[in-house]
Amino acid sequence: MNCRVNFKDLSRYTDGACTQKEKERIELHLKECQECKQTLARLNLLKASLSSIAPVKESESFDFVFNQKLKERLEEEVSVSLNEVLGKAISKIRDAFVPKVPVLVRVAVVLVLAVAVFGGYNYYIYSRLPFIETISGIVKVYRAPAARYIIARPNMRLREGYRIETAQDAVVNIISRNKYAARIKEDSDIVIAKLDVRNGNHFTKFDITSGKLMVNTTEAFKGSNMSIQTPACEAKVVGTAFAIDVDKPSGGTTWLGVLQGKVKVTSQGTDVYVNAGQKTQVEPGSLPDIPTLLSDNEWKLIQELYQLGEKPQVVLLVSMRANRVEELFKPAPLYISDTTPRTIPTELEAIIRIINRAIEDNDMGAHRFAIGRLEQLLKKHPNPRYNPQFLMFIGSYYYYIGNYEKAIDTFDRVVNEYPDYSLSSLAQCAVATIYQNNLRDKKKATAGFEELLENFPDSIDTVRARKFFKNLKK
Amino acid sequence: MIKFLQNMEYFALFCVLYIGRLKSEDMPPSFDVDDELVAKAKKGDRRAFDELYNKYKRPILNYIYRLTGDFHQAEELTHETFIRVYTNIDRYIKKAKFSSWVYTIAGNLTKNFLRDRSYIEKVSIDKKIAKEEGEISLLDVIADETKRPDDQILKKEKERLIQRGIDKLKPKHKQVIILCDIQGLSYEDAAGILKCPPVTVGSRLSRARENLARILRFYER
Repeated sequence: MNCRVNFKDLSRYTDGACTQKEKERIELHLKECQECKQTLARLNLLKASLSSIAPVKESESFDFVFNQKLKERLEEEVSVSLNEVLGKAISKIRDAFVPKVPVLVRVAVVLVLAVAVFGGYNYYIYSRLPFIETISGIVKVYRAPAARYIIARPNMRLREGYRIETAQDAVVNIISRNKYAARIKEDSDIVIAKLDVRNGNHFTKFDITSGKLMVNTTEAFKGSNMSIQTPACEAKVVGTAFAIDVDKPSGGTTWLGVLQGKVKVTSQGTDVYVNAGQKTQVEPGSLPDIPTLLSDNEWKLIQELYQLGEKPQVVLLVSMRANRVEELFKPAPLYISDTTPRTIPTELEAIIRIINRAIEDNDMGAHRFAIGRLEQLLKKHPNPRYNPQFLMFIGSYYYYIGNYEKAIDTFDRVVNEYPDYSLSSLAQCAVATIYQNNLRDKKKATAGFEELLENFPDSIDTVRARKFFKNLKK
Repeated sequence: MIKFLQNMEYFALFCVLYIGRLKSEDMPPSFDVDDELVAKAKKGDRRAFDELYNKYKRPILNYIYRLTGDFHQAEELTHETFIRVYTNIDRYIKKAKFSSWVYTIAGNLTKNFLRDRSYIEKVSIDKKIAKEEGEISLLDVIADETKRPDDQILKKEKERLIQRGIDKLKPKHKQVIILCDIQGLSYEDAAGILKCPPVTVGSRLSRARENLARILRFYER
């Protein structure tokens, strides 16, 4: 349909959802256009078929079963008092022990149990303390109870009240039992103001007088929280990866950049939320700056966070800028870390290296060979963790070699099969952009950008969609 | 004595349900204000709840059935929907229609069920459906149906083809097609259930119809 009236117009027309003006425009067009007339007729036929579907009837026992289920559910909800349950349990245990076991044996068993429980509890608390994973350079830890500095060493457990000072060129990595990983960089002075573990959740507070701190939380951090106090502000995180830099000479001016997730920054009673790809700066005694996008350099620096904690083995390197679809088409590099154990097949690794070399040498034959092998291997080793990254790479790679239809197919797969993947909005944007710029299909580009706005309303890629519609109106 | 009275209460309930059961219409009940019945049900009036149950059980059952394609599971989920309605009715606040609330509960339960059972099959709309040997297109069935309008086998075949087509839609598109085109809800009522503006319902419905027509090969003649 290459008319001024499209399918959406006809759909609304049949539903009586058009304005009078639109209705007249459509009716005028229908008088001249046989194609639209036929489309409308088929649409009406489809609607009629759908509305004529006979509703299914419930089975004969439906009501009876429902009433039984409701009755059982209501009975389950009658609460039993904890005291009754405990009382019954204790009396059962007592009845079991009293007639059979001598008093001394009972006392001994209770003492052993008490020691075991106490010891087990202490170990539980100890094992959940954060510890130093690696150190580079001179790092001192001041322990308040002992009132002295000691030189930090790997595997050292850290407690509430400890002060960590790093010398020039020193770096220390801290791990907190699959909850988060932190890196304290050179010339830093940080106090662990609070360290509380309750029901498996960690409540942590750092006070930073000066220096740089980077934190990467894991999925298991959910339910925990962390706050960072600087001379200028307080930053609260729930689950994120971010970097914070406190400049002592200026009295504690604080810079904060976010890689993933969201950080709440509070200063002078005002809260500001800094989202992924954004930064803010706070001077002591002032309100936080309105968050802005990270610059290219800042973005590259903050990617150091990928080295902390559970290192992803495959990462597609795209920024959070509004024009990142252009980065994707370059194509965006696929970073593969060299950490072990390996969780991706080695053949995939080798092919990615061949592709990177083919791009450097501009070798079309190598491109075609590599892309074919890559798709075969993805089918053979499906891995939901890395598939979307690989598919994005393959899509951008097809674009790079000029196969736009395959690029669209691949990006479509990402959107359809991984709708919750963080770069799905970028995949949708890529589809619409290829239709717009390369295939010159305005209708499909419009549909693509509309889907982007509808399905990913909060993503940075909607900036491009809005620009497209703005230009369309001109 | 208490047990006997409880049993009598259930027996009386069955009599009321059997004798007083409303005959369901082909279209879902009009969304008249159910406020009075809801207010009574909140105070524990079981009869008021039963009236609401009888009014919406079939539309809800059909909604879930069309979403899942599984009749037995649709009945189970419908039961669960109304159990939740009953046990949570004191928490219902009249921000939206009562019917929208019930539909929303049903939709959420169905979504969780489909996610847990990995029933969701995301298919690119451009994927061609292989024509099986002997399979006929929907247009052919409709053409035959106009010649033999009383043929129940053709009717069933049409419904089967349509359900297969609906199964291949994305969840968002499935919902609007079922609510608006099958159950006859307005954009406004569907918007109340789907928690989006009416204009979004119109937009999704248009895409859903376009995709369904393509799946059913409506434009290949």
